Amino acid sequence: MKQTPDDIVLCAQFQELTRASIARDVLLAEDIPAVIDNSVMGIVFPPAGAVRLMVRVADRDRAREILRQGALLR
Amino acid sequence: MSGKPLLVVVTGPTASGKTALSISLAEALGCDIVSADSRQVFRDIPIGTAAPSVEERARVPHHLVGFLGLDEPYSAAAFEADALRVLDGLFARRQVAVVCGGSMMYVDALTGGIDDMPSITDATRARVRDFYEQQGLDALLAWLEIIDPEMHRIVDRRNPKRVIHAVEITLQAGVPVSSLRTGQKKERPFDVLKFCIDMPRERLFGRINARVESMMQAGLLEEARAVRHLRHLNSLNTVGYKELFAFFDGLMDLDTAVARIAKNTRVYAKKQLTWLSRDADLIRLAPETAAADALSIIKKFRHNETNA
Repeated sequence: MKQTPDDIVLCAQFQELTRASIARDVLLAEDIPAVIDNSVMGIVFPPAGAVRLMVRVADRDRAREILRQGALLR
Repeated sequence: MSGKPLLVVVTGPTASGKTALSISLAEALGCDIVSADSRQVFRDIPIGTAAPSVEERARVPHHLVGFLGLDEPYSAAAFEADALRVLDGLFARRQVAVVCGGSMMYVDALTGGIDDMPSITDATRARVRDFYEQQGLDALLAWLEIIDPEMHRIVDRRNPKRVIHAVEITLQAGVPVSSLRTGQKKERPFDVLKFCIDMPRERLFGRINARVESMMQAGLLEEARAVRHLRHLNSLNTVGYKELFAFFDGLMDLDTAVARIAKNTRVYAKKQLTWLSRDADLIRLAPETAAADALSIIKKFRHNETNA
C-alpha cells in the first residue's frame, strides 16, 4: 500500500528511553510531531528491544537530520 | 630583564570607574587604550554600553570600540585575535599599552588565551533556546548528559546560560565541549599588570543607579527605539535594551523598565565581582588614589624588570 505524507513511520531506534525522550523533545521543539511507540515496553523490559521514535513520513528526513545535528543519531 | 612590553589592564565591575582610570593611566604613560568590552565593539549603541565619549576618545586613542554592526557575530576568541593584532602594532611604537574593560572572558582571552571554541550559528542558538524554553532546564541537562557526560558532571546545573552554552558548543563543534577544554595558559609576548578599583558594594550600587539615570537623560530610550527592529540579534540581548523593548511592547511602564535596568545591572556587577574574586593576579586599588597607586606600581614593576 502506498504511503501518504501523514503516515507514521520509524524515525530512529534507541536503546534507552531517556535518549529517545530527549530526541522526541528536540523534534517537538522544532515543531515536528514525534511519538515514542513502545515506551512502556522500553521501561519494563529495557533489554528486550529498542525504543522506537516515530514521525510522519513527510518529516522523517528532516527529523533524522535534526537528530544528527543534535548528536542524538549517528 | 624580560625586555617585554607591558600591558596594563584596567578591569572591574560596571560603573566602578574603569574608563576614567584607564584614561588617566594612558595619558600618564603616553599610550593608547584597547577596549575589552563585549558590547562596546558594536556601533549604534554607545549610550547603553557606556562607550567612551567623543571627548574621551579625543584625549586618548581607543581601539576595538564601535567597529562592528549589530548583526555581526563576535566572540572572545575573535577578540583575542583582534586585540593581539592591535597590540602588536601599538607595541611596535611604544612599550606599553592599556586595556580597559569589564568583559572578563575577553580580558582572560587576551592575557592568558582561551580554548578554541566554535562560533555559534544563529540556527544552533535558536534550536537550543527553543528546546530550553519549551522543555525546561532538566530536559536540557538530560540532553547534555547524553552528548557530553563529562560536562554534565561539572557544569553549574543551576545556571541555564552555562548549560545552554555547553549544549550549543557541543552541537556546533560536533564533539563534546569537555574535549575542547585544555585549560592551558598561553604564553604572551608581553608582561601584564592587572588592576581593579576596589569599591565598597553599596557605593558601587549607588553609582550604577546614578549611571542608569544619566543614560536615560543622555537618550537611551531613543537609542533603544532606533534598534528595536533588530531586537532578535544576540548583540541586543543585553541589559539596558531588553527592559526597554519590554516597555515598547507594553509589558511594563517606563519607570519599571528603568528600575529593572538598574537591578539587572547590579546583578551583572555581582557576577563580575564573583569572577574577579577568583583572580589571584588582580591588584586592587583604593578608589581615591587609584591612578597614583597604579602608576607607582607600574613604575616599580618596570624598575624591577630593568634591574632584574
